[in-house]
Amino acid sequence: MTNLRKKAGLIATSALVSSALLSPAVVAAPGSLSESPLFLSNAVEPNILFTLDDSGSMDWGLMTQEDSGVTVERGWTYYYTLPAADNDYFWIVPDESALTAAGALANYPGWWRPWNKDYNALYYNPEVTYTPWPGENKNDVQYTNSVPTAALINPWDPDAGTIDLTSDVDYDTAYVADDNIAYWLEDNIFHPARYFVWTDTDGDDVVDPEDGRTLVEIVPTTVSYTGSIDRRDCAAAPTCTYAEEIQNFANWYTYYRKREHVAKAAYGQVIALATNSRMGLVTLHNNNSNNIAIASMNADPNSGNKDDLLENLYDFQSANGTPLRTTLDNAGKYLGCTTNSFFASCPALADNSGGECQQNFNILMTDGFYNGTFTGVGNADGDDDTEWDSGTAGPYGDATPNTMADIAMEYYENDLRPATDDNLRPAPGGVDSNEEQHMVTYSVAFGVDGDIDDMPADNTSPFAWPVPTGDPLAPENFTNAQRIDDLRHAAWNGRGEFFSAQNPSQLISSLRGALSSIQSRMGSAAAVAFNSGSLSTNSEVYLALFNSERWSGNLLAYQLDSLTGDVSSTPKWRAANRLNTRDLSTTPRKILTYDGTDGIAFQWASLTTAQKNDFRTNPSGTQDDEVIGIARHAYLRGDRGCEISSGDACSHTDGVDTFTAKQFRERSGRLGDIVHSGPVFVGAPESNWRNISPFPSASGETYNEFRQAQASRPGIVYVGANDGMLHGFSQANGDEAIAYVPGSMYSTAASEGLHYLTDPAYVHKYYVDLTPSVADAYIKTSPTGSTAWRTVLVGGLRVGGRGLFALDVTDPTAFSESGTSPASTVLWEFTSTDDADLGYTFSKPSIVPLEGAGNTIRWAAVFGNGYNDLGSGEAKLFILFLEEGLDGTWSAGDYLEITTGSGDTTTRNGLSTPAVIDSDGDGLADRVYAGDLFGEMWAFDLSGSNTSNWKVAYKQGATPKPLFTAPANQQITSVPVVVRNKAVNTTGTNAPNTLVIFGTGQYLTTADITTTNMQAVYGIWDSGTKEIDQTSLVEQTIGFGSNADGDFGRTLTNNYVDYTTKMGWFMDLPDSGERQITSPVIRGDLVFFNTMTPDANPCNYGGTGWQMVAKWVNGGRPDEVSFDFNEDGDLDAEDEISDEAAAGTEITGLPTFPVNLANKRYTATTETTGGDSIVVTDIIDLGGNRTGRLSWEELTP
Amino acid sequence: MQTPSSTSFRKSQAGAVLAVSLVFLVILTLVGVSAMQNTLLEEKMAGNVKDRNLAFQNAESAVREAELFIEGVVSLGNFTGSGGLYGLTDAEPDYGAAATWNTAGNHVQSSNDFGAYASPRYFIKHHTIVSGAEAALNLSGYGDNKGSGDITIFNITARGTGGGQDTAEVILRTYYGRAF
Repeated sequence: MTNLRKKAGLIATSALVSSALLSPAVVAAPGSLSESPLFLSNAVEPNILFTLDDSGSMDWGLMTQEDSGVTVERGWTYYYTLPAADNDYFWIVPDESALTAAGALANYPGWWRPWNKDYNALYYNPEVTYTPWPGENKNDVQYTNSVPTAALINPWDPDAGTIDLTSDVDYDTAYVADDNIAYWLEDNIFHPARYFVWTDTDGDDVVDPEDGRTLVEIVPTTVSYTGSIDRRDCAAAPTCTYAEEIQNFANWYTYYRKREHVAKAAYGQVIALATNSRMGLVTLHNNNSNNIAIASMNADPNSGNKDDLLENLYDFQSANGTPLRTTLDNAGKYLGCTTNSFFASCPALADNSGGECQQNFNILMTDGFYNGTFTGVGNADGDDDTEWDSGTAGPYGDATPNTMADIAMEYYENDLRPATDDNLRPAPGGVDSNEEQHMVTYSVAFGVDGDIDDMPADNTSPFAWPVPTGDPLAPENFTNAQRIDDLRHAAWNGRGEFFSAQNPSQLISSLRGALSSIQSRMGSAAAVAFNSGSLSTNSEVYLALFNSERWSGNLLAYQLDSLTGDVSSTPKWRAANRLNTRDLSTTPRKILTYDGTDGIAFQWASLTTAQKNDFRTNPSGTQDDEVIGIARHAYLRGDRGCEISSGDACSHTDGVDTFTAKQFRERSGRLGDIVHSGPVFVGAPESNWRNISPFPSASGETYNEFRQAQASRPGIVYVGANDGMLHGFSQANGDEAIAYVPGSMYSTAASEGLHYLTDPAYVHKYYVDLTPSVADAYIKTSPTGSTAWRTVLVGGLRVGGRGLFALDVTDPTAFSESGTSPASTVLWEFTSTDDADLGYTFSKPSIVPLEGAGNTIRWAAVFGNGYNDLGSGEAKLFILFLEEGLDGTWSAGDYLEITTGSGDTTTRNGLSTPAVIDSDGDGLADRVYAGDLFGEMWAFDLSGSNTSNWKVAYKQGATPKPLFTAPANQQITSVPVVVRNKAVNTTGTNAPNTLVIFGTGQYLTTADITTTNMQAVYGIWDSGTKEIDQTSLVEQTIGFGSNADGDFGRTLTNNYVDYTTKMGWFMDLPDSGERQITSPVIRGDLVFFNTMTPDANPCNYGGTGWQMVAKWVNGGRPDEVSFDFNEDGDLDAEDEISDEAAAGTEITGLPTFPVNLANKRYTATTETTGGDSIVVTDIIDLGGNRTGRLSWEELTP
Repeated sequence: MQTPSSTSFRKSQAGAVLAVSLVFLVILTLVGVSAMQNTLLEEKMAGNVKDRNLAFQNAESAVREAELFIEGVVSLGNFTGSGGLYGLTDAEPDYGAAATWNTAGNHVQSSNDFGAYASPRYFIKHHTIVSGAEAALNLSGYGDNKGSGDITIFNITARGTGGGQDTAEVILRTYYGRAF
């Protein structure tokens, strides 16, 4: 949550920066690149109303398993363990010395138990670190460690008095003598800083009066105390010094002594960390007028709305009864903006700024059994009047009216705001699919238990909720335990969760659990990618997802039904789950990294000093001891013991010092978020290289033989994640087979590098975020090695950094951290320190064969320089020869950079992902097309073996000129697709006679969410003419219409392109803000592409898009129906708009590129959360040459 | 009154008719048997033609069924060398071997038999992939450009039988291309 805290701030900052950069210049660099997914930044804040119990029992200092919840001796009830100025003395438990003096000790055999944590869950627990409340007291002074000699009695109000915990207390209380009459008991004198350690003598797991106990007094003469390894305040945990122990005790006394204090601490902690939500607080009685209306939470706990909320929280005072039902009823009315006893204001957001999809949560906490009377909702849960409740047999309903459960159901099943459009998003897992505005109820029972231990098993079977004895229609007849069951029932009906907290730490974790459950419900976030390659070969779809709550990620494998094309709804495996349950001691992960010249194991002992210094960097940017570096390194390798509130042991040593503090960022799992990196499946070799010269043609060396030899090698799915690594997961079961930490990830700067991932204040950053490229190449893999066919992976980082890395992934079974494997697996890295003109590596490399001298091949990675470089600012094409980086250095001639001369250091340009083609059919790459941020499409000529002739294809004198320039503000950020122009015969004068098809638009900075410049899709004919612009293109116009059934979609004109006078076609994208930034896909005579329109209305999941189709030869509408527009399973006249084939259909969420397989089109969007939410559409079968029956013969007789 | 005696009748008869009748009977019998033999032969011949034709039509129907199956599949995930579907690297079975057609799992059995002794059967082998025009131009890596024009070629081998056991058998093979 800390990470979320600062996110809003970061986005606001970067928005300012980028608008400042963008506004004055017509064309400019992309601006400040966003460090978190753009479609998340306009998520709707939920309303969270805390309903807090301020009844009298909350003031008590005891919480036991007795019926009373406190302790009763001989009919006299005691509520407190230690004296304070604000409690009545005769409610304090009596001490041994005074009881002995009064001759009453025999009547009080269990006198010691209130000072034991196992009996009194509220009492000081030496295994726990007690920290001050977050925020400020009534004088606006931050809460600090309590002073043992003058411990505050009420932290909120320093004027309420103090107590000296280092000298004896002396107080009077009451006791009951043999005659059953209560008398004053004077001279209870003892050292207050003390606790009893219980020994379960009879082994019954109950703290009996007769059980063994040891008194521990925290006094200067005792120099060491036994705590636990969780005592992060103790330098030598689990052993603590006197100073540490008395400090912890004083903190407990001041901040945790009473139920009310614990509740304030718990709520304070979750509120202090919360952002991206709107919160308010109401209490049962509003004793000190502390109810505070719902408002948006800022990050800083000491200012703004959050400060107001915390101040009201800390000020509340406990007294009176527990009228929970009236309070819950009023909470529902308040969230629904109808008349209530709390506030006159309405907490809902305006309809067009999120109100349509705003979630409402009520978190109800009580330490006791509700009382008071209530009528008004009747038997809401048992009247079966909506799809959300049931009959009286359950699972939702019962026969009793006006219970807590009825109230929760009343405000769940009925539209809280009927006048507002209902656009709520179903919660993941089907727990809450009500699209109308409603209240979700969470309940927390603190220190009290019910009769029922579990929720109903499902939402259809009957369930016996408690029935009051006597009159079953009177909820007043509920027993105490049944009232707690009613709380559980309310959470079930309200589609929330029920938590039973038996001690302070459980209360805190329950509240965190409730908040975390709410956050994951918001789950605005599914980044997706599709492994198109895997679709046809293995019938599997790989889907990468992330959850923004703690930036965890997952990679899911789904089976594809090979007959129907349906994606299975249950994953075959979940990589994150496999990684989380992996026993790292018996099956350690194989993680490699790069030391600057060669691959090494990602083990502490192997790392370079500079890399170790990254891990030794603490959040403020200074160097910690080596042992903390070891612990941070272990965190990256998957050790979760040292995360805040981890349940595992945290212990690391460098041989001298030991590190045990649980202080690293809390994760949901070992795998970090996967955002823009699509998974790539690598199984049997897939490249289409030839077997004739200049490719290896001798027997034993041909690509075909390599292909056959490797046909059954284990499949691995590679994907980059923002946990600093590229991961490779086994196709068989999802186990991580390999991971790689690029050398450019390390940094000793604050808020950067790998150590930042362990920082509790982490705000999302990208690390390895580009889809890796994989291809086979015939190369050496060490400077002295021999040449062979290898499968090479080249990965980039996007905003994660200015670097690329290359791995040899030919043999997944050889991956290892030991021996020569790291050095042979890692080939090289190329970063901006090798060439400053390399920007953020947004450009996905192509691994291709280029012509070498003397009928040879030079294998190379070809890519654009990316955005925001630190060098010349020009858009450049890089050609890295794969073998030349093996020696660890990139010297002149090892790589080429071809500049376009476009861009400078004030307005930086950048070259996007290139398309590399073989225009003359010799199997070797000879031409490259790539666009830049200035809207220029460049052609590069790489033909011939003389690298000095490799250049931009078109020039005016010596000045490079683009093939095409788009109008202003049309950036080209995606890869073009290239086809041979079939409308014209290829001749010597129009070579290469290709059509270059691409879209324009940018979605990289926060400013891009709201830009509305006209964007377009182009088909440009490359036939020897340079500097084409829109005037020499034929325009196709996108229209809007409906079919006979009234389904709305897009139409497209079909204007003829006369290639004797025109140079191609274009179509403007008509929606405001619409752009085309994913790769178009060619299929037969058609081009499929998806456009996207980021939406300012936050209820639209980041935006919408159009799934479009056109003929690529002229950009016109298809000649016949080409996709199932009305989704009825047939391609027929109903898929036509005005008797013409439809050209586009709208899709909710921002779509990725389409993947066509047979006659199905698969599109994933920002709304995709699983295999079954991938959008599948029927498309036209691909006809043409060599399809259908090709031959017929009779074999017998 | 005198009544004619039987003796007098016998005397008045001449014996040729019986002999002639018997001769005719024999001749007619021979003619009938011969005709029957011809008919039977012709019937056998016709039956064989019919069986042959039935087998052929069955085989052809199986081919059509297989082609329809190919048109319906979305991916080649089922082409694993079992159930009559053979992938690119699987060896296809010998169509001349009886086990290919008699053992379940080596072939797909059609649900229709059109009066044949056994339902027609077929197996499909993924033969090869021909790159589409776009793939031939664009140099791409693993996972790129799938589903955009490559043509997958299959061979289909189908067997049909006649109306009786061990009567006629026809095995057909076609090559079939589909763009995925």
